[in-house]
Amino acid sequence: MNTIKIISSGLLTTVQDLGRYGYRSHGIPLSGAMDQSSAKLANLLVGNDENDALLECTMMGPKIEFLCDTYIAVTGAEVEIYLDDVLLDLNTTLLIKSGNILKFGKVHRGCRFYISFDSGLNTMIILGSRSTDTVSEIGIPILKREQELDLFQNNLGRFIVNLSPLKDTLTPRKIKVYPGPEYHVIEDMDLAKVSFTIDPSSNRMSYILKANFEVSHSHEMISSAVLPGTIQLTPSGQFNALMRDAQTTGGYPRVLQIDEDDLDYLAQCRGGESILFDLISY
Amino acid sequence: MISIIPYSLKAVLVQWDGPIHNKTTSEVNLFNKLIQSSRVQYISETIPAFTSITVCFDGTDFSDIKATLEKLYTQLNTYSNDIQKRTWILPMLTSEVLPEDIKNYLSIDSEKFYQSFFNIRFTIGMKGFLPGFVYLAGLPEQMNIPRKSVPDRSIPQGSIAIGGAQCGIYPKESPGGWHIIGNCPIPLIDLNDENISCFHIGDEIRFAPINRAKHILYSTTDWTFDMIISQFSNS
Repeated sequence: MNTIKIISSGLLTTVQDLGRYGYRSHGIPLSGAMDQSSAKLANLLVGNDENDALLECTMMGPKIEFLCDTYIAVTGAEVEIYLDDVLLDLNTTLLIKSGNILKFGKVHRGCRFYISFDSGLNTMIILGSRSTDTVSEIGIPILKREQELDLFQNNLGRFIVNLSPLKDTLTPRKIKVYPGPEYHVIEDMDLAKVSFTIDPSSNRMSYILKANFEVSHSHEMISSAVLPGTIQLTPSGQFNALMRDAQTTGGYPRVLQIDEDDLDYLAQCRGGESILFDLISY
Repeated sequence: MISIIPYSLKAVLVQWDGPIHNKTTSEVNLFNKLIQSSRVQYISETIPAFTSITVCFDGTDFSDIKATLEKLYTQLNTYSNDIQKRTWILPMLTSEVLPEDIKNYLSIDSEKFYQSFFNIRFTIGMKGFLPGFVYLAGLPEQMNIPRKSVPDRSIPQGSIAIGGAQCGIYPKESPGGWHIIGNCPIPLIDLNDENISCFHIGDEIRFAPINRAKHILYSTTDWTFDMIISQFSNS
């Protein structure tokens, strides 16, 4: 059996693939990697399918001991990677020998990074996905110290691709947003002039965005579906950008919808950072 | 009347006019089935709600999906409705005393409240909020009570609760802002079964009182969907 051992778990390390699709009509959230393009890249770098299960790490990485030979790749946030104390590169295929210890240093840019393994993590599948939903507690729990995880039988020496990032999810930019179904609630607002600060309580469920001006509304609506990237406006004027572990339906006006690629960028933003929106029409 | 508007580059919202109504919920349910059974290329998933369906797609654009959905909608009248709607009578352990805030707000005593409650025929209007959470429509206006201004930190699994014009059953322990009036010991969801749930949008639900002994028995029973269906539904 190919196994890795979690020596220390880091801040929030979870198993993710691209998400649990097809069950939202039962209220089952999508979950899946927050920065989808970085997760895809990590898998491609070790010759995997884009949807294979990998580790999503947040701000402070885990320390991992390998009990087998394999290939790995680390993508996403700009983090210092050490293999037995030797500094290695991001976004490239790394050969690992049994007994090696992988650990992480400072995160210089971004918030989440991904560790892929040759052939992927062989953890339990629930409803077609290995993703951990941290809110509904579906999938294997957030990783703990001393935990061992199995990898699929690897295929060392098969064709390994070497790619540059498919999409840059770290460089600051204005976040592209489209008008949401209830955009009319904020249509008088000059969005170009508003700056939003990401609340430190933001997580895999939602990013709470505090606008630099007061806004309130009393718009009542009938509960309806919400999507990752939907920005709801609460009656108290708080903007909630829903992320991968968000519930499937909601009752607050859906005022904006974040562009899919820029949602990966938002997932790399940290609490306390400020963001600007660029409203574009369909 | 429906309107179809863009929701993201990969989703459209089909929206019905007007408030929550059984007739609308039925039409939403029927149209959702029609979309699914038509196996339209590019449509990956649909998320029905009380008065809307969110249609997720990949590989084409808004105008193409809009045209497809508009064409499908014209076929709705002739679409044969073979949806099997079940009628359920679900066991409910009532709260020993009706919470004071309900008694005071509705000016009603426990006995009258539960007497009326057990006569209500609810309809499953949608699912959401939590995996397997069912939203029940049909609470009469005189029993509507605003949600708690400060949500409870923990609402136990199986809680039957009311808020606004709605009633719901909590499939698992969760924070929530509705008022708990009883508990249903029957599991609403099984993540290890690909059918996930035996309760479907459009099903009718009534509640019937059980005593504490029965509640304990049901809570410790290892239910399968077949057992639940044969014991608590009309089919």
